[in-house]
Order: sequence, then structure tokens, then C-alpha cells
Amino acid sequence: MTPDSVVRLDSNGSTLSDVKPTKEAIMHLQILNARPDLNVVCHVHGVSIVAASAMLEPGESSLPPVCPGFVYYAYPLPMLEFMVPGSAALAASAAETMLSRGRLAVLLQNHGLIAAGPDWQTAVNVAEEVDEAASVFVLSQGKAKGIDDDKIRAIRGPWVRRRGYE
Amino acid sequence: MVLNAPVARPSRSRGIHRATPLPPLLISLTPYMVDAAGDLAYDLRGSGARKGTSKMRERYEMTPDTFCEVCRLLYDRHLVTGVGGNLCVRVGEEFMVTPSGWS
Repeated sequence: MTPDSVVRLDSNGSTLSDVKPTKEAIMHLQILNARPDLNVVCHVHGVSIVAASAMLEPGESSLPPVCPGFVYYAYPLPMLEFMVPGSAALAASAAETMLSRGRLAVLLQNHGLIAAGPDWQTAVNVAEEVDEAASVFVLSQGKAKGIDDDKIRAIRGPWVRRRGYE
Repeated sequence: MVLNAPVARPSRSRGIHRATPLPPLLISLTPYMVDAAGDLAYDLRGSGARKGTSKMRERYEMTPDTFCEVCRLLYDRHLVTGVGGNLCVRVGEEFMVTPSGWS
């Protein structure tokens, strides 16, 4: 991939260059349109992330709070049930889930992870923290014990104070 | 002798003449910055934007070169495969996105 092959889209999703965009561009655009505070969305398919998503049940919180970095950035991490990649249904569900204030990540069952941020450093960091937690979860065959609730509150305290919300 | 040295101008707002120009602010043009630990971005816009009183959103900048570097970073860290996984960035009213078949 070269700088020339990066696809440019206008705000409606119409292509401004000759190259065809990824089929999941619609999902990215809907998320960014729903959340003006975010500028970067990365969608990753790390092996541990996909493995963990295949072991867990969809819902408001999926991956247990197994490491502090994950707790700080992305806990509780919701997971959407499997939907066809690139479909309008997936794009709409992902954007709706990301509407929650302060949320930076959503897990997609048997598919991967959406990680977002105001800048690329944050988005990539969130993806790496979730990847680490997913690796711990998979390596422990799902038996990893989570961090206690009172310690979760202590870890997320600086986040809440800086951003003013949970 | 220093050529092209910055010209010291008197500050009009406070009426104090500064002999030396102030150093440039080490803050990026985006409303967010990474803290000293290098891993935490936070909002510099203050409570006004958070409460929704200001509709102004500051423009985030990224060049296609940086876009490719981030894609490469994700690939090198085994977070994306050859064609799976993708990146999307908002720059003003436009978006940059990964082409189909690439990551």
C-alpha cells in the first residue's frame, strides 16, 4: 500500500479517487459521523481478538477485566453478535453502540475489533490494550480472573476525572 | 551573527516589551495531545465543548504518508492481516480510508 492508493471519500461516502474503498468504509463513516469527538477508527483482526470473540457471548460487557490497561481504556467492552462484514446492518449497529459517550472500542463476534480515538495514537493504543487482554483471556483458556470492582473504579478514576464522564 | 533571527515585537496586549521572543508552544494543532507517558490523549478544549455549548470541532490533520505508516504499524504488530482490517481517518470534511484488498 502506498500513499497514492489511500482512498479519499467525501462526507457522503462518495469516492474522490479512482481506487475502490474497503467494503467496511460505510461502518467507519457512520461511526465518525455519530461521534464528532473521534477522528480515527481502526478495525483490526488480531488472532487473539478473534479467538476471544468466538469464546464470549454478545452483550454490554464481553471480555473480563483481566489487565489494567484494558480496564482503563476499554472496559466494559460490548460485543455485537456476528453480522456479515461490510453489511449495512453491521454498520448501523456498530455506530449505535459507539454512540455511548467516551466509548472507544466495540468487539465484533467471530470478526474482530473496532478501536477509535481522537488521534491515531489513541486508536492504535486501544487496539493493543484490547489485544493484550484478549491474549491473556485466550492463553488462560477463558479462566483468567478479573480485577475487583473497587480496583476497577480506582483504575478508571483518572479517566473519569479528565473526561468528566464514566 | 545570526541571520533570519526572529524579530522581538512589543506585546500590545499587555504593553510590556519582551526582549526575547517566547518559545513556540509545544502543543499540536489538534485539540488533543499525548501526555508525558506517551499513551494518553485528553481533551484540551475545556468544558465548553464537552457540554455541547460549542459546535466548533477543530480539524485533525493526517497526511497519506502517515496513514500508510499507521497501517504498516498495525500490520507489523499482527493486528491486521494482508487484506483484513482497515483504517479510516477524518480530515476536515473528508475521509481517508484503506483501499479494498489492502490493509
